[in-house]
Amino acid sequence: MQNVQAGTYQFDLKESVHLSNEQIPIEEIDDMELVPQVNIEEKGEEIDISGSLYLYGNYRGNLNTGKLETTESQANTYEESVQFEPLSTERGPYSPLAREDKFEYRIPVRINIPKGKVQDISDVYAYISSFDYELMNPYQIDILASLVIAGFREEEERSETEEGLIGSEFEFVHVAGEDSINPVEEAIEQRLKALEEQIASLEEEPMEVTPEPVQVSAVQVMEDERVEEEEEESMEAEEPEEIEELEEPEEDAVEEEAGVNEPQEEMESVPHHEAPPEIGNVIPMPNLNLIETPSEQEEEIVEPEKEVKIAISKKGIKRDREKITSISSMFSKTKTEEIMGEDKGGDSGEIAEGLKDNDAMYLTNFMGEKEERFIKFKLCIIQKNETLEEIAERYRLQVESILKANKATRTQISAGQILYIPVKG
Amino acid sequence: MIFLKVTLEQLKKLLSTYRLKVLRIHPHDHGFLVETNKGIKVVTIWDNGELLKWSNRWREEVAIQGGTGVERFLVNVNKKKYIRYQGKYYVISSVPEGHHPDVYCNDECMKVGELFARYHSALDRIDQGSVTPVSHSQVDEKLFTEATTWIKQLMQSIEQKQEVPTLIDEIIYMNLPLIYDRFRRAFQLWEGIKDSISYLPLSTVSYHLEQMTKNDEGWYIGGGYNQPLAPLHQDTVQLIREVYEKSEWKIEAVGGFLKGYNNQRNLTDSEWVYILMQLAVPWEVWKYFTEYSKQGNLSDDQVDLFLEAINRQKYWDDLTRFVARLIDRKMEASA
Repeated sequence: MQNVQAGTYQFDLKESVHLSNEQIPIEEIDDMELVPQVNIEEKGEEIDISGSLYLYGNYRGNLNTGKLETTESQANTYEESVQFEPLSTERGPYSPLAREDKFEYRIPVRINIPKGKVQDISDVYAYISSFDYELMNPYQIDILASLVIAGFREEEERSETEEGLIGSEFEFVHVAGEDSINPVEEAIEQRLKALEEQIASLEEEPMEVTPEPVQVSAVQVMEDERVEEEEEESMEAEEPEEIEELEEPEEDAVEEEAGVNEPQEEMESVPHHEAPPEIGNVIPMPNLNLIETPSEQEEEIVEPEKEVKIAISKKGIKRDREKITSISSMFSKTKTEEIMGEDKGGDSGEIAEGLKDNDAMYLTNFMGEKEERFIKFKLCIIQKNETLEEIAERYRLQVESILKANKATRTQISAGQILYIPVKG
Repeated sequence: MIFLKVTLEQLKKLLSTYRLKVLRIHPHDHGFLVETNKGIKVVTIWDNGELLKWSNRWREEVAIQGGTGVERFLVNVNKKKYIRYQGKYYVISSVPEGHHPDVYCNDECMKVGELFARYHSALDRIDQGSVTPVSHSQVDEKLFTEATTWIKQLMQSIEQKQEVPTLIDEIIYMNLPLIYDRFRRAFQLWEGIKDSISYLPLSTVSYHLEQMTKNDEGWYIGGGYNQPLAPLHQDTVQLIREVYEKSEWKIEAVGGFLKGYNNQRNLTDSEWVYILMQLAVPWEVWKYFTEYSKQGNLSDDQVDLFLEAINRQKYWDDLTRFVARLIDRKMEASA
């Protein structure tokens, strides 16, 4: 995750999409789009951004099936001349008549933000800021995309950046691409990796105190933040140390053990979690018990060196190829009740105006429109002899809109090039 | 089966010219099988006098050359080998008793090849007279052009079908290019030898194992009644396929047949390639593809037979490769 600009966070995704055996192998991709379907809801003391990124693609393949051999090349021997491919009574995994196919792929997302990070929930929105793919082989596409969550309080964000976002925890749950990997093993591996990194980074620093590990749940984050915010009031804007981002060990121990706030005295009585007296900075250490016997599937990696702590979780991980029956119905879910209510107000005129200019306007104005919270792009590969007008007509757009979306002029467009096609979410 | 308005009395009268006493009459594919006081005779009915003469010539030639018994036409009291009645030719011949070749026995396969070669050698020597080949010969240039065009059209029609394709549509569609490839290769072979085909003597369009009989007196060849004619080796391919199929796809049986044939009569390079070309054509499955094309689908019974034919094509491909290997070896040896 990157704090790309004030009030905005970017999550880079890399995902491998594998076709099933029943699908024709990919030869040419016609178009592809990544559509965020994310609910932004206020849940208690936090903002829950959850949902999925839906990847849709249309492609062509199986193009040589049904083609007749017309070359008149002569065989070298008579035996060679009668070497025939055997006839078959088996149809094969996919229809020999299929020339086009599509894929749908879901990347679940969950991000938790302390409520204090936003002024108004309707300010928060998510969109795909960049999207690219690489055809690794006819059965695999690697997706690269960036999901941006924007609309945080800029002032607070700035101060948190300066102060290390003490006590704030974002949870980003990315679920996909683990077909052949045991989720439990994967979770343990990731924990080990994260912990190894932690240990490595900590080894470089002089450690005076070995506190208990930080294991933060969403509820706890809010608790932490409240505590932290109180502390922040007394703290001046000094250069934050990584260790300053962390809670007091006693506090962490409580969170880890019980997941709720309990009297500190009780926790201190547990020898395992007993921390040495605090001497200045507090350094988090991993709790190996968690690795050996994960109490839940969720994996949380605390990255103390970063400003915002993100937990990439495997909670509910499952490659999910849900059948999506209607894109329009999918989008109807995206608006939160809260947003709906607010948008009925002063923004409605602006939205109506934005709609007049169709998708192109959306691209440029979406930041200012609260109702249109997501941006989608379709990828279109310009075919030989295909004109911009034809492409624009196909997607019911103005040529200028496409050029604008791609920041290109007519002369910069050529066959084989990938065009971003703006689509209103 | 020929159905003629010939009464028993008329038939008895005809046979009386052969000094034969009719005991019992049975219908036969080409006339009647008659039990007489001098054994079982076959009465065959011919439409074409020239064809009858041609058939008599090769029988007499085989008899002259010797080496095998041959089914000859009997001579009647008028010193003729036929009786003309109602515009048709009635011919009587003796039917030897015995067994037909056992294709599980390699020696008998060789013998079949040898006997068949004797028959062909007789055809080489006789005057063909004014007989003509059938206009609808199994293999000619038209076959290839029509088949390849037809395959393309059928593929297009399946692609353009409005309905969701059935499994049979898909199986037909996916196999059509493979069938096309066989026709294309066969056509290439045909292109190399088509000029020499016209120099081959004529023979009946088919020849079957049941036309050969073995008894205590030896082997007999016969049959071929009132059959259309085609250049030599359409019958050879027919017989090879029968030997192969009846031997349950034993390539050795075909090997034995070809060895026996070549011991008696040498196949020229062109003849070898002509045989190979015909073997490359997927006749059996082709029948079902054309049925599908005519009907737009196949009945349940046809589907079973079609799928079986597709599976059997593997054996025909094996046979084709086997013959191709023999040709390659022959070419290498003579190079």
